[in-house]
Amino acid sequence: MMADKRREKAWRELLNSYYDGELSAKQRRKVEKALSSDEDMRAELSGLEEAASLLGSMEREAAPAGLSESVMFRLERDLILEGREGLNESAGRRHLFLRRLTAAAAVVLLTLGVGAFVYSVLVQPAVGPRTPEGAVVVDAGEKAPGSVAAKRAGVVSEAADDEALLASVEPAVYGSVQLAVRTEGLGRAQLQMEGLLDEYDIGPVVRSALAGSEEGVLYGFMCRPAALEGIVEGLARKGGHVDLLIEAPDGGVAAVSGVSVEEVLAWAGADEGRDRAVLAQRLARAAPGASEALAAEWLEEIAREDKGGLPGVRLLGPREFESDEPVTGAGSVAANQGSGVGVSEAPGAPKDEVKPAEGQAEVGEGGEAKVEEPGLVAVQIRVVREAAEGAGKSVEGVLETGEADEAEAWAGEDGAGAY
Amino acid sequence: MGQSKRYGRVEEGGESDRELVSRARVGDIEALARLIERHQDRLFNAMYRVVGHYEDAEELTQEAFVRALRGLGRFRGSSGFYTWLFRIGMNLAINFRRRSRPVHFSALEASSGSPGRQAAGLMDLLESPGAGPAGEAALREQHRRVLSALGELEPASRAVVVLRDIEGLGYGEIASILELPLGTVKSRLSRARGAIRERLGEDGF
Repeated sequence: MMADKRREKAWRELLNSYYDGELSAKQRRKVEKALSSDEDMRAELSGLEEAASLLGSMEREAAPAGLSESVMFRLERDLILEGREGLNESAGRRHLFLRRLTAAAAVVLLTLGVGAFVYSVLVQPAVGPRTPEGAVVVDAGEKAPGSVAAKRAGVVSEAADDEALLASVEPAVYGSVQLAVRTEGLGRAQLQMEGLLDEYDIGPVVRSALAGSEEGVLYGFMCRPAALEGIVEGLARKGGHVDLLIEAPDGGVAAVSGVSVEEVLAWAGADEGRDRAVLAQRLARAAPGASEALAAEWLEEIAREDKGGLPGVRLLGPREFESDEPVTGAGSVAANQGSGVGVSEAPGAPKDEVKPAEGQAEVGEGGEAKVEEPGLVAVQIRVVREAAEGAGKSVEGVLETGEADEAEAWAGEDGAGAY
Repeated sequence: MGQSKRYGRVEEGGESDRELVSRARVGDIEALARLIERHQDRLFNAMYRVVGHYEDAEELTQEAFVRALRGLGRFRGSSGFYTWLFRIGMNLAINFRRRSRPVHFSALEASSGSPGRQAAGLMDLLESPGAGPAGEAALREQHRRVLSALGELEPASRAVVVLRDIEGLGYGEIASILELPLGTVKSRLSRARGAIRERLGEDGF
């Protein structure tokens, strides 16, 4: 009986292998001979074929839309979080927004591979000396023209090179953000930008052709932090790399792209002074006028839990960006009194949250607008056409921007490779 | 004779997995993206059939990719990337179901109540020329039952059936993915198909 069962089992397996085309020629002949004389075996084969083909006839299920983007996002997020936790857990939480931006960057690279987003947090917008990487740097003490504040004043301009307008307002002193979108597909990027502005109900918006040799459009507007995050991520999803860095709130300072958040995190975890010096030197090079010592101070500031100790430099951190709550001590955004145009309502903000700035009168549409709108961020986005060659260079992954040892430091402790 | 469904490992563009993996190892994000794009449909479909739940399959597929891509530094290339990816994915799926709720396969309706994702494909099949309403209903019922029978298998056996009858992999590939001896693959597949047939027979199939 036992032998019969073993024999039956062996034959079934043989029959399955025959059905699946997994037999040698000799075995196949053996099975075919048996089939020709054994009705039960033919029935067995028929039943086997029926069930297997039924399973095989099921329609294949395509992966859900966005799965690849989710994977890339998770890769980036996990690496960032791990790196951060290994260095400084509380600081990791503190820079969640920055991490999100960086994670979004990977997605962009993924999708188009041609765009480059250089995200820096500055007072100064589109004019001023540029680093070799194309980031804008403002010397300490220099006043920023503040086209964002122009929007704040309700100015909507389609005029090209309206520098007079842009320069006529005081700089925003709270949450100013500059974002440069570099892409071969200028038209497409503009469409994306317009779509996102609509999606987040942003308005009014200053649109102005870029000055100088750059071809593109400058967008200026104010929005809530959550909307900014959505816009940045929306842009990033469609094609670019986000770098980021420092905010200088007092019309002073500087700061820059060209050094990624990840590198800063790796820097913070470096034990060797030599390793730390490398990044500080790079940052100093990226920001002309900045000494290595100052660059090191910026880095320290980024990595520290308490970021209040460095005069003149403030990070755009989660306190501002993860809450729509007004931030105590945030400065006001002054509108251009001379322009005679103004709208004072904060995009997406209930009117009762809009308060006059200190020492200034609140005015409605058509009047001189001077309001304080804590919780808003002044944003400038430059959409710039960039040649394919240049774009390719600028679309370097986060890890590719550093030296090999920096990349390894960031790759993680589990030998997971240099993703 | 059964037909293997083959899905190319070197897709349009001609760049092999090996080349993409080499690039991805040094941080080439485009290469990572291409690896994902190339394998996501296959992996997801297999995961979905093993776990029987769309959202779980999506989550597990993501997890498999994340683990595989993060582990590229440990990938020695002794097997193909996709084999390695499937190995990770199947392990996740098998272990996931072992500690989770029973599988309930749905042949026609997604949990959302809209025409199911799975059903969409099935409906296309049913709407093919020659399939009248009666035939459609019968085929629909057959699919429901075979999926139900599949769901009653042990996860490890289910994985073998999925890889063979749905993914169309050869025995050697299945053995490599599940890290089983070839003989075990044969016996497990034979037993699993027998159980499915038995279950279908009980239902008057």
